Amino acid sequence: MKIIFTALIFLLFISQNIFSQTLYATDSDSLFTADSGYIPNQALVEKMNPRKPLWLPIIEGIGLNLALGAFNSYVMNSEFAKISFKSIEYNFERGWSTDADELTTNMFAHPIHGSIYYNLARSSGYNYWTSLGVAAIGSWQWEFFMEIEPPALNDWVMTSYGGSMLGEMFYRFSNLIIDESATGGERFWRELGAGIFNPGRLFNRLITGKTSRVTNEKLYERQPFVGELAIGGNNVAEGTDFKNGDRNLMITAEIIYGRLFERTSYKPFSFFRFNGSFNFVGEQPLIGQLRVENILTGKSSKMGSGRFLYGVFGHYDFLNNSVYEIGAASVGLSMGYRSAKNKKVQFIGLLHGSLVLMGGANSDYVPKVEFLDSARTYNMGPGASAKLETFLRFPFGAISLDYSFWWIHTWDGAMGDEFIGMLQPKIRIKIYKKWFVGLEWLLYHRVGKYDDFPNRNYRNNEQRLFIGYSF
Amino acid sequence: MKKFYYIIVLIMIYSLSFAQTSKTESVVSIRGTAIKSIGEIKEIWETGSALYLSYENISTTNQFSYMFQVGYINFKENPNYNFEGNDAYFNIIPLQVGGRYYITLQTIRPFLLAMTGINVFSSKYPLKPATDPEKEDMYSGTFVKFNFQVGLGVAVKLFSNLQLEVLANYNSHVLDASTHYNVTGLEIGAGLNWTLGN
Repeated sequence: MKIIFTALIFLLFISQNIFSQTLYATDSDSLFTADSGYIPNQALVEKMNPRKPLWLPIIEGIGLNLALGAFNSYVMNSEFAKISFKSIEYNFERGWSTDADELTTNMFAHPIHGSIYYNLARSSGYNYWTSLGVAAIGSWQWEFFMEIEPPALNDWVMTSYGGSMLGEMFYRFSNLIIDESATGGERFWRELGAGIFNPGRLFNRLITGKTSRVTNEKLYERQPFVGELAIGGNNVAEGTDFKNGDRNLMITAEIIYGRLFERTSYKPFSFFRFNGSFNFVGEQPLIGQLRVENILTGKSSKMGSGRFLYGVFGHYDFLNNSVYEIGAASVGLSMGYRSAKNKKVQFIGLLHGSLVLMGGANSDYVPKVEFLDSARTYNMGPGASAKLETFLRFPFGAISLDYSFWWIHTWDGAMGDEFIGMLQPKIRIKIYKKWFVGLEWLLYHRVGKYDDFPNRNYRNNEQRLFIGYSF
Repeated sequence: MKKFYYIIVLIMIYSLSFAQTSKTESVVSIRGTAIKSIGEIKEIWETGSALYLSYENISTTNQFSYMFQVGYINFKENPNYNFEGNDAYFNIIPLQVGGRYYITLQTIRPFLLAMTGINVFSSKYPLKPATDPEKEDMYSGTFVKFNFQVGLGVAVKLFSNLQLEVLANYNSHVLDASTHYNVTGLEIGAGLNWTLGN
């Protein structure tokens, strides 16, 4: 995780010379500038980067699994990796199951693993959907062949679909960093920086000689992005008062890639929004929050003096603190509206309704379920989610109000339903050029309704105070 | 059962509403298969037979297709299992989406396939083996669960619009996360494919 986090910061710093845009609270909000995205000529791409046969990324994925399996078995001496023909036969006879790994493994590490499979295909010339398929094959092969534990359906969903979401985000980040006209030290650092995000792509670039190819042709799509990096403190409190909480040093990052309302049609990830928060010093987990939302397809058109859009969006949510553990990969329908962009006060709103393909939410009762081992503290299953995002931009800053809701129907764990909501008002005030200060309050609520246990109802809150820089 | 016929009719109408374009082929298929259960499920339900109807849209440029499929699967009990009665049944209506990758699109078309979706199970006898009586009656009645199928096969062009295909699948249809077995099995079958619009 530290690598990813370091790489994220690395990206934020080195990419400022690519698109000098700023976000929300500062002077040159990208929402007010023309679309300056770059989409390369397809014929040129096919000439310079011809598509590899499909079997190649599939074989690479299986090779990655074999190498990782050998490492787990012979170096780490992990019991789960001691496979045999008997264990493979058993896995096929047993069929899909679930596993009892902790939230970070299942909802974060598996999507990261899937992003590598995904990018082996993506960097071989395939689009989002085919690369998602290759990730699914890689994950399936791992689950059925590479572990003595029965194949876990939750892992397969999170590695394939969750992996495609993180994978495409990393692919587009690496597009912003790679510059094949650069040479020397700059080139080395760019290739390395892109490779930290995207090791699958780095591997393919190394074996095909692209890391050392020098050309002035622009071969990789780039869309404008805006972002902010903030540092401050948070207080994760039991209940709804501000006292008795756990105080942490916190770093947050937000990146908005692509111009959602400036287009009329969309391809997967021509727009996405990334949010991350990371805790230090206190008792909270290092990764507090990772969220990605992206468009898969949609249409946008004029509505009065503003713009309206509807489409299919994907969502990846990973929230982890001492009170709440939530992980979910979802897909669903969304609509949005942006008011006229020539006014001093601008409104942006998005409403999402999604199916949760696989999700997890912590519960007091999970340890009482006999077939789970102690590593898992959450109930798991499919469900639904909804999200409302509203944003008001003023000359002096911005106010946003987000509300997220998840319903997880327990498929594995304490049977019942988990309903979790998170209200998230936030204010940012511009203080100097690209610098801002901000306040954020997160109100969590959770209702657990169980078949065999008393229902639970909680409210908790978190306060955040920060200073940030937008780019 | 009425719902099942409605779904078939809807898929046929849906299929016919797609006009043929130069870069895609729309194919309607009907196929029958035989299923051999593997793992613990075979102690109770040893074999099965299935009938599927599918609509497929093949991209001739990249050789991928996407597919919608509906079927009806009937399992036969293991004669060695004591059912304590003669009215037991175990049926599945699978509703699936997925796709195929055709290695070539010539007269002989080998392919790999993956399908997923939901199964509507209908059982008039507990699926659990007697060795695990704890949840003996857990799966009686009607219930809906996840299905999964991967396989390979080959389609052979008989006439310009008609193909014969044979395939072999591995099925891992989920019963419940907490059980120690699922509806796993090997499935072989043959079918006829009709290309629309040629």
